[in-house]
Amino acid sequence: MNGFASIPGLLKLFVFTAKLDVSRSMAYRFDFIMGTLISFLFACAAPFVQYMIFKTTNGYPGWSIPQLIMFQGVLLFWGGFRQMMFGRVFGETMALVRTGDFDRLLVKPYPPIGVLLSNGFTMNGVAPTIGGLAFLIAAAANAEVVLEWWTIPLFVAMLFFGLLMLIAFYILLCTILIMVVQMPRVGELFERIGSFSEYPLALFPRGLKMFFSFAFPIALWINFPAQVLLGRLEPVMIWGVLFSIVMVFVSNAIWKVFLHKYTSAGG
Amino acid sequence: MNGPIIQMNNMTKVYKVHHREEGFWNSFKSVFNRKYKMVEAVSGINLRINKGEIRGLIGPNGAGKSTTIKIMSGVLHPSTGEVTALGMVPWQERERFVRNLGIVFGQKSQLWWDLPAVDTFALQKEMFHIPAEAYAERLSYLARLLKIEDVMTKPVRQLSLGERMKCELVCALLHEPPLIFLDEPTIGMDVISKETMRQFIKQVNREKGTTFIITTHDLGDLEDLCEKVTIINKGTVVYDDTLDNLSRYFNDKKLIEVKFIRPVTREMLEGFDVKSFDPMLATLEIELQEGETIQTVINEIFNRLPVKDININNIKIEEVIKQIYSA
Repeated sequence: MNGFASIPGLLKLFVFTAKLDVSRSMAYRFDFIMGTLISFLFACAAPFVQYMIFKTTNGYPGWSIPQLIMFQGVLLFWGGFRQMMFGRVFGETMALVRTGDFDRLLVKPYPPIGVLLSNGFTMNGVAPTIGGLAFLIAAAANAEVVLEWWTIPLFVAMLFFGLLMLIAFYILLCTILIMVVQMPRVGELFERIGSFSEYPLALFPRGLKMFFSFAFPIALWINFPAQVLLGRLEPVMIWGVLFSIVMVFVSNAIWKVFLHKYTSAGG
Repeated sequence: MNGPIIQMNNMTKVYKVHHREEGFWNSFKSVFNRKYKMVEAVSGINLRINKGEIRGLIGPNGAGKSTTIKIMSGVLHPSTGEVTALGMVPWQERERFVRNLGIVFGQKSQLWWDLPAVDTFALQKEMFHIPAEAYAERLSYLARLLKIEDVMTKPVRQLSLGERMKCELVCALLHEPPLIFLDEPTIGMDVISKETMRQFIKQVNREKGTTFIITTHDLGDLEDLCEKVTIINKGTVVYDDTLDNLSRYFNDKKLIEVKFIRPVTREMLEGFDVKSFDPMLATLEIELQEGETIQTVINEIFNRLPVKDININNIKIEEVIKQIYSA
């Protein structure tokens, strides 16, 4: 990024805009209270539903029921977390490019993709994140996870690199948007493919397992962190980490090429 | 006046624009076979703007003003030509350049709609790393000048257009940039708000030496604020000089107002370009041909018409601009 030097500033900006987003939600008190309540109820209900579903199954190959429930905990937490961090990026970018308001980002003293990402926070993800984390802790205890000294740091590292890969994909999605202006379906496609990460890799045939581990390693989002908690470290995880780092650089390079071709909207 | 703050040499911008005929069938065909045209939005623009100026940039709709502003602000890059602003190439050193730039896009708000403007100001402080003390001082100065002390704490969605524009202006000025682009800053404002806005721009220009580049369709903005004006039409600069000289642009054209002793008919004015007519009063536009003097024309008027009084004026600036636009 031009450059990575902007990252501390962008992180501050993220926190600031997140606070503004919460303030904006609070500007409409009734909506804020009802929204928080509903979101919290859903966040509580989702783990319960997961628990009920998986309690009645026989588990998946290589996954006992408590381990599967813990996997669901990681899934709920990750789903809430990515929604909270970058839930607005795609829709917001599409609206900005279509109306020509994207120009405003180009007169900010930061890389425009950084500004887009730092505006990604959404309140709707807060309750699912908290609920998911609570469920994850309970499920991990239930699955009798043995915590080594490296378990939590490695789990956090996996989430970090998962987030990095997510950022890389969002950069590519934003690139497509500044190129073609309007393409909501590409977002849906991304979500559909991403939804394969919501199941243990063990469920998939060998070809797909390889695909989601190497070519499009979305296993980094839920599978690998869950495996880390269970102490099942695999060499393929290193590939996932490297892939996420390379992806950020590649997607950023592609973004820059297409940003140069940006033509704005009429005056 | 100081040296140049912006220099543009032979700047051209070409867009690839999609075209299609009306109707569903053409819309369907365009999915498979899209027709593009290369459109030269601006062509060979040369411009020099000095530090501390308030420059008016005008032109009819679609003339290339916005493209010029976008290139000067680093939003777009030109197809050919050179542009330097504040000693930088805007689109190449964009982040460093925009730290020194304030911009108000007339139709594009940067204020957070549901929150008071002060929250957006605080975001601006964060973005431009404005020290807390300087921020407080500048905000109080700007709010006082624009009389928005009470306005800026109300949610933006409850503000009038004029109040919002004033808040937009504060956003653009908080980091004290030496160069500011204002795109139609007084659009939709009432007379009092326009006056406040113009006074404000003049005061900031005088006190801080800030350079303003203003695009506007309001002649009042130009007359009140700008010493120099640049007119862009069909993508090229057609006039780049002082506003005073603009009024003398058609030096050989005059407006002659003639009062009559008794009523005249329109037929009696045949041969003159009549701009307005009343049996007792007419306004004639004349263009002096080579070798012809005003005396010759006046003599003809006196010979043909029962003149009571006569006034000779230059063409009004508004009319000059209209004629340049339609040229």
